[in-house]
Amino acid sequence: MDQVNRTFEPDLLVIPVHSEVTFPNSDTVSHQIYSFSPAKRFQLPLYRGKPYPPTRFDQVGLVTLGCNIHDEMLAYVFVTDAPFFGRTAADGTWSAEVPNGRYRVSIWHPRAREEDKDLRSEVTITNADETLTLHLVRPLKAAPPEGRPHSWDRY
Amino acid sequence: MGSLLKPASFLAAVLAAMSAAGHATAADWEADLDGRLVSVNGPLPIIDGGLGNTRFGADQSGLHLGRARFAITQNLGEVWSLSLDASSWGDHDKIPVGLTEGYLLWRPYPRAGYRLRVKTGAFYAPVSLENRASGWESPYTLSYSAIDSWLAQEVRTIGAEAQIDWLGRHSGHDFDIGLTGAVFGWNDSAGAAIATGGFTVTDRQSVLWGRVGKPGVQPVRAAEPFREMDARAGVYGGLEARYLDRLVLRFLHYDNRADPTAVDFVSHTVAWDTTFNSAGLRFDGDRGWTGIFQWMSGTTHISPHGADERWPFRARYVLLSKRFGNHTVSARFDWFAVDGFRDDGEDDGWQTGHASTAAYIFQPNARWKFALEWVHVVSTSYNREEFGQGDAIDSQTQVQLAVRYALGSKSLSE
Repeated sequence: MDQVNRTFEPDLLVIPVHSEVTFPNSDTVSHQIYSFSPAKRFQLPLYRGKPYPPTRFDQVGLVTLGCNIHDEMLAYVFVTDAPFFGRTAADGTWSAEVPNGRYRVSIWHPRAREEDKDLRSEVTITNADETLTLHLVRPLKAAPPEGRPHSWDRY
Repeated sequence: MGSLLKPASFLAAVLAAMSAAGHATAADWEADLDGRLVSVNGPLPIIDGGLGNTRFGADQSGLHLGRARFAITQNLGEVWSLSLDASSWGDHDKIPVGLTEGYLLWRPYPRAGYRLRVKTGAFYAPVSLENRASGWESPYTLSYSAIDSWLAQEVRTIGAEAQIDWLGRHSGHDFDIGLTGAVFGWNDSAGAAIATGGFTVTDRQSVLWGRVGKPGVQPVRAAEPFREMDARAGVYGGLEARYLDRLVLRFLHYDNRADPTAVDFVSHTVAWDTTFNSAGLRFDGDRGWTGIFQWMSGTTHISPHGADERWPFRARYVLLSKRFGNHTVSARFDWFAVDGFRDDGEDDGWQTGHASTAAYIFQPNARWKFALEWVHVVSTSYNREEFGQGDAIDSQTQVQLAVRYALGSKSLSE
C-alpha cells in the first residue's frame, strides 16, 4: 500500500490473515503511519521511501490506518480468513471460481450505512455461473471531496 | 535584531543536533516570492499611519512586494517538530524580516482513538477557516476577511496550546472532535489597533514583536500588540468538530486577561483587556464548492489613570468558492462594527462597514500562482473625521494582480 500525494494508494486492501503488507512512501514529505485498531496496533516512525520491512497481519478484522502528520489520510486493511475474497471493481462486481456448494457471502464498504448483519447473504453454487446481487438500501456516506489540494489543511 | 537572531541560532543548534542523531528525515522547507501590481483609491493604510481599510491606499498604486517568505519544518526525532515561518512584507515595520509563527510541536501517536498535541512558541489561535494554506494564507482570496485580518494584525498565541482529538473517523465513526486550550502571554496590547483604526481587509500579518501603525501619527500611532505588561497569563479554549472531512465547526473563547489599569511608563502604552468569542463553519462540497461562515464578537477595554473606555466589536463574513481544476473563483462579503464608549458618556472611535471581495486564482502547478482580486470597502469611521484623515463615510477600492513563485520540498509535494 503506497502513499502518493498524501493519500494511501490503494485506500483499501483485502488480505488473507497471516500475510504481510509493505507501506512505501512515494511522497516528498514524511509520513508517520499508525493503527489503533484492535486487529493490529502498530506504527511506522516518520519515513520517506521504503525503509521498513513488511508489516504482518495475524488477526482477522478491520485495520484502519492513519498518518499522524496528515489527518486527512485514511485507509483500510481488511484481514480475512475467508477462502475466497477480493475487492470489487469500480462497478461493484467481484467474481471467483469456487467448487459447487453452499457459501456465506458478506460484503463491507467503508462508507456503507448498513449494519454488518444486513450485508450478509448465502448462496448455493450448483452450476457454472451463479450470480448473487446484494443491494445497499441506504445511500453511501459522503466520500472525501475530490481534488481538494492537500496543502489546504495546514491550519 | 534580537528577535531574529534567537530563532536563527536555535535552528542552527537544532539542525546540528539532528545530524548528530542520524535519525532525521530532511527538513521540509518552502520559499515564496509574491509580487503585486496594485491599483487603489482611498486613505493610507494603517501600517503607514492612515485609517484605510485595505492593505494599500492613497498613492500606493503600482508594484509592491506582496510577501517574501521562508518556512521550514524540521522533525526532531519521532514525535517532535520545529516550525519556523519568516516573512518580509516590504513596508515600514520596525522589523523588516520577522517570524509570523515559530513553534515546537509535540505530537505523540494516537492511543485508543485519542491524540494529544502540544504546541509551544508563537502561533495562530484556531479561529480562521479560510486561512488553511501554508503561511496562514487563504487559498480563496489574497486579502483575508475582517476577522482574520484583525487576528493577522494583533492576535498571536505566544505560549502553549494543548489539543486533544478524538479521531472518530479512524475508529469507524463519522466525526472527529477536538478540544483546545491555551495559556499565553505577550498579547496585552491586542485591541489597540481595532479600537483606534477599526477593522481592515488585508493580508498583512504582523511579525512577532512587530508594529501596527506609524510612530507619532494619530490615532493608531505605533501599536505594538506583542507586549506583556501585567504578568497575567491570557487563556483561550475552543472546540472543533469535523464531519466526514467535509464539514468543520469551530468555536473559541479568547481572553488575554490584560489588566486594563496597567500602564507602561517608558513607552506610554496601556494594556488592552480583550476578550472575544468566535464561531465558524466550513463546508467542502462536491464539484469543488466551498462555503465558509465566520462570526466574532468581543470587547477591548482600557482603564488607565482612572479613566474607563471600552470598544465592543463584532464581525462576520460569508464566503463562497468554486474550484475548476487549477482555477478557483471566490466571493466574500464581510460586515464589521466597532463601538466606542467612554465613561463620560461620549462616543469615541467607532467604526462600521462592509466589504465585498471577489478573487480569481490560477495555480497551474506547485510553483506558480496567479491571482486577481477586487476589494471594495464602504465604511464609516469616527476617527477618520476626528483626526482629519478624510470623510467619516468613505469607500475604497483595491485591485491586485499577484504572481507568486514557490520553491522547496513543501511546495513540490502539494
